[in-house]
Amino acid sequence: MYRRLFLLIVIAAALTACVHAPTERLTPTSNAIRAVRVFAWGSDDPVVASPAHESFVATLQRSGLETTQIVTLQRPFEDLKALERSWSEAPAGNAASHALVLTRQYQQTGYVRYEAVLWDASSRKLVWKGTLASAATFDALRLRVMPKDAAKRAERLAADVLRGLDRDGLFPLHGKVPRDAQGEEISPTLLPLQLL
Amino acid sequence: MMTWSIASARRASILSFALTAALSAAAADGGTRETCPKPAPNATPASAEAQALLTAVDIVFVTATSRKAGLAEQAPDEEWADWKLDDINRLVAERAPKVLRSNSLGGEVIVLPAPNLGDPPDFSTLDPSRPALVFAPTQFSKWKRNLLNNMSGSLVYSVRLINVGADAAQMKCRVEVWGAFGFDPVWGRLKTNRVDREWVDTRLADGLTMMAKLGGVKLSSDKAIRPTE
Repeated sequence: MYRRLFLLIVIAAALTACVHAPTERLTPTSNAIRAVRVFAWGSDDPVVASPAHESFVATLQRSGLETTQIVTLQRPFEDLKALERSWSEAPAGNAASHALVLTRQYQQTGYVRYEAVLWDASSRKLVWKGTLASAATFDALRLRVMPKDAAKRAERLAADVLRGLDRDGLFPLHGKVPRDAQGEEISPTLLPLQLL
Repeated sequence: MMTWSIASARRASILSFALTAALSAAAADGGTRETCPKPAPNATPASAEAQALLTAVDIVFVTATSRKAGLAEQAPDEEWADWKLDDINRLVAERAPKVLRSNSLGGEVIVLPAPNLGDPPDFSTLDPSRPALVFAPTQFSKWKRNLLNNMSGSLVYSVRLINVGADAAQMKCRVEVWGAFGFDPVWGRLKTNRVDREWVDTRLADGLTMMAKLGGVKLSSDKAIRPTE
C-alpha cells in the first residue's frame, strides 16, 4: 500500500519536476566583467526589440552589471568573426570588457528559448553560455509571441542571466537578488524537466 | 445468448477502437492551419474573382535546416537523422511531379537551398512569369509530453502562391502545413513518425488543398488527390 503510494509520489514528482535553464562556463577566464555591450537578435520577438530590451538592460544595471550599449541586430551573428566586426564598430570611449549576446532560438511548448553568451574582448573567446527560456503568450495559432508581457519577460531573462553568471562565478551577486522596475524580487525561471 | 452479446459487444468495441485509432493515426503525422476567414456558404472565393484558377503551378520547396541561431557550438540534432528529415528534398523531387499529375496540374519542382539564418528565402533564381506554390519551413520544434514518452517533433511550412500576376489578389492571411515526427499521440511507442513518401505526399496535397480552398489552384474536387503510384 505504502510502496504504491511512494511510487505514485515519485512518478508525479518526476513528471512535474522543474529545473533552472542550464548555464555553463565555456572557457576558464580571470578577466573580471567591467561592463558589457549587449547584442540582441530575435526576428520579430518583442523581447529583443525596443522598448522591452531597455527593461533587460535596466535589470542588469540594477544588479550592478553596467551596460554601455545595446544593439538590436538585423540578423543573428553567423560566427564569432561577425561579433568581432560589430565589436570593432563601437563608439569611441566605450569601456565595455565583454559582449553579452542574446539570441532567440526556437519556440517550445509555451516557451521561447534563447541563447545568451558572454564573450571576453581581451581573449576573443566565448566564456559563458546560458540556454534560457521564457514563458510567453502566443497568438491563437501559436506562431507569434504577443507583445503584452515583453517587458516583464525581458526583466526575467536578465535575472536568469545574472543568476547564471553568479552561479558560474563570473559576476557575483553577493547574495542580492535581481529586482524588477518596481523593486520586487524576480523569481528564477524554472523549466519542466522534459523540456530540457 | 448473454455470452454471445457480451462477446459481440466486445468485438464491436475493439473494432470501433481500432477503426478510430487507425483514422486518428492517419491524421496524427501532421495537419494544416490558417488565419484566413471562412467564406460564406456558396460564396465564390474573393481571389477567384480576381484571377483565373491556376491549372499549372511550380512547386518550390525551401530546404529545412536544424541549425539554430546562436554563437556557441551546437551538438548535432539527435532526432534529425532518426526522423529522416534530410530525405525531404529527395522525396519532394520524386513525389511532387506525381502529386501534380494526380491532380491534373502542370508544373515543375524546384528545391531551393536553406537561406542564411534570419534571412527570407531567395527567390531570385525563379522565373517571375511562372506561378509557384512555395513551401518555406518556418519552425522546427521538439518536445516531450512527459518523461515517460519519447521525443515528438514538428516541422511547419508556410505555404503561399507567388508570381501569380500583379492584378491577382494578395493573400492577406497565413496558410501553413505541418508534419509531425517521433512519438505518435495515438499509437504511442508502437509507431514513430518519420519522413517517408506518405509524409511528403500529405504535405504537398494539404498545400494544394488549402490553395484550392482559397481560390488559387484548380482541383477537380475539394481535396487534392494523393498519388497511388
